[in-house]
Amino acid sequence: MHFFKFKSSLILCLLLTTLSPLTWAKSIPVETILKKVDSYRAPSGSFSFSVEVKEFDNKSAVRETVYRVFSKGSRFARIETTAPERLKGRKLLMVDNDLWLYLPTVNRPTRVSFQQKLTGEVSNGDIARTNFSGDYDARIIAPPSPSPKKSKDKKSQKRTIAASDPSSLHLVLRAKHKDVTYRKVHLWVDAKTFYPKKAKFFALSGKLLKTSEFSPPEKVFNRPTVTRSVIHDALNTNQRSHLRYFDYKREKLNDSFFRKQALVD
Amino acid sequence: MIAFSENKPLWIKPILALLLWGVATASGGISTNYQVTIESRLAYHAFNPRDLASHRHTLNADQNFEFSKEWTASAGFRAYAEGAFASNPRFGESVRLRESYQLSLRDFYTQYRWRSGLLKVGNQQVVWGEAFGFYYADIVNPKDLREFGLGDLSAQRIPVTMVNAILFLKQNSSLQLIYIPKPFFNKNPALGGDFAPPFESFFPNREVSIEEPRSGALGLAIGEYGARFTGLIGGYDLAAFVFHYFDRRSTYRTSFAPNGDVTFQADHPRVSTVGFTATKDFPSFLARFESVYTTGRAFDTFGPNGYGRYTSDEITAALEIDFTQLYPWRVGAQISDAYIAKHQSNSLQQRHSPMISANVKGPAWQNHQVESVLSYSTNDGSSFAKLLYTIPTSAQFEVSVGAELFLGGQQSKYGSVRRASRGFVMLTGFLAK
Repeated sequence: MHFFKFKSSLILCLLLTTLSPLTWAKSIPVETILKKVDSYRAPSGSFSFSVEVKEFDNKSAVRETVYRVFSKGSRFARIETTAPERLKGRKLLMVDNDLWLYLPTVNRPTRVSFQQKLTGEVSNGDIARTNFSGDYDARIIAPPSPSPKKSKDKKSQKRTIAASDPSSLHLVLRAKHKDVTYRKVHLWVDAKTFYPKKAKFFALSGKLLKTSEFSPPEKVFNRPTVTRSVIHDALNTNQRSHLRYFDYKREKLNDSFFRKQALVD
Repeated sequence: MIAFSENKPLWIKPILALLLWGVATASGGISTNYQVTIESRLAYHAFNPRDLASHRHTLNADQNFEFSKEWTASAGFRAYAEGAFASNPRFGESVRLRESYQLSLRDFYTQYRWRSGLLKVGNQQVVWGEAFGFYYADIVNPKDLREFGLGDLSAQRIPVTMVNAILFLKQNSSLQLIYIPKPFFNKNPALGGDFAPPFESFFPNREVSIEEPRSGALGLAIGEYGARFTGLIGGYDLAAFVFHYFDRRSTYRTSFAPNGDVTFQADHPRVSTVGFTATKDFPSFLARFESVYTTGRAFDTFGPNGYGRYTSDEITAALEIDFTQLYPWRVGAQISDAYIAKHQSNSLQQRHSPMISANVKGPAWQNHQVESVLSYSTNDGSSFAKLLYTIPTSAQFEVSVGAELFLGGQQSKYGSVRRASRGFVMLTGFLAK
């Protein structure tokens, strides 16, 4: 009995070692990979957490905003601005593919788009929506060969290396429907764990809008989760936003909490 | 003793009793948060730069209580002191007496929210419109129009006491029912102010005064009531509503004293409005639409027979487009029209009142923000332009520099208040927990 168990484990190990990460990943449905990526970006169930967004122009920090995010599955999200005091009271509500913004100065929820700017380099959809698997069709493309051109810019060298890293999988995501934040996303994930490393986001016109880099995972509810990322503006490379996710809590959230009428509390 | 110069909440005792009940039944303690805004504005007239237009200090305070996840309450007030009307002799006595200071109760309500609905009782704002620039469907609360409807929409609305029940239905739809036991009306500019109506021009060389009640009678049978249904169908955010109420806008009757002095007496006939709003997020733009049909609305006239009025049905519509692909800029455009069905030739309002508007908001240097609004009245060629540059100096303070310009002929929509054009500096402080 023990011999058979050992034999089957040996065969499995041999198979895994002989297959390249790309071959192995290609044997897994790409939807499964995206779901795994989503699980790193947000825990399942009902929970709340805070997001701190620090915006930089060159090396100087120009603005800092903190949001409290309440999330229930991939259908509902409610984002409340908690700092600075100037912006306190602003709320963003996502229900399925629809988004509303509540401004205290207007005192009513107003329909907005996922693509519109929330703060700095961050769009509404960057915080409200973390559901790649529901929003995009994906395909894996082979890792690109290292760029023959040598850039003098250290940052761009670093990015090129990340893009051509053989331990990464390069996925191209295309929007399933028109309500999503971006038309196309290039996503690089770890070939073994599918943890996201880097993403490039494209507008409807095909123009590159921004690039995002994800820091190594930290444990949230005992699961590895993205807790830091940096979003670079593609047009003005001096501008970037650093996002830090913290203070995760399990919550009991009634569906009525995610009604737009309930924003006017 | 300072008296509240705006509407006192009705049923203050029952509301307080509900609040106390909320306190008594609160499990796990009461959580509170507050938001205080202090604003100081100094403005000079644009076409007479040494002439003080406004020197105003405003305090807004809101306190929210959360007794439980279901039971909440809110209480707020606003106070302002305006120095320009007393220090600048150009302003008349009426505006100095009526608009130099104010202390008013704002939101003062208690709310219970459960799985399938919410009930809100007390002084509150109910907003039914979708559009930003020309908000025709925003008919429930009266407005403070003493500054020509400029400034924050929330600050312009006057909260009134009402019962507001919302039932959450399936498929993201809801049914809202409201009941207002005592009607309140728009607050209009006093004579002698920058935005005063041109009543003196109708009766030159005579003393003119206005009698304008702030509210109607209280009574269950004569109360105002309305309903609104909202639904989200295929990404279209739709709403239909009906409201039976006393017109918030004033129309006037004139009476003459033996010495020839004229008094304009405001009137607010009962009207009924049905309306429809729709919003849809398309791939490259977001469209908002609202249309309102009001029966039996009164309109002022002036002709050989003097000042008078007539009634007619009115249809208004506004379409707004937000261009969502111009990241990081927010750019919008709006067109609107108000149409009087049975228009009279001597009416002070034209049969059609088409308007075009555009707004742009976006980042300037570092974290500075720039905002611009342009409106154009196609009937008379008059226009309004606003430019605002905001500099956040810390988490609690921001400085704004701006200008509001009214351009056009003497009798035109915007040109009639051309003298009110101003440039201003504003310092705003925010405290919150």
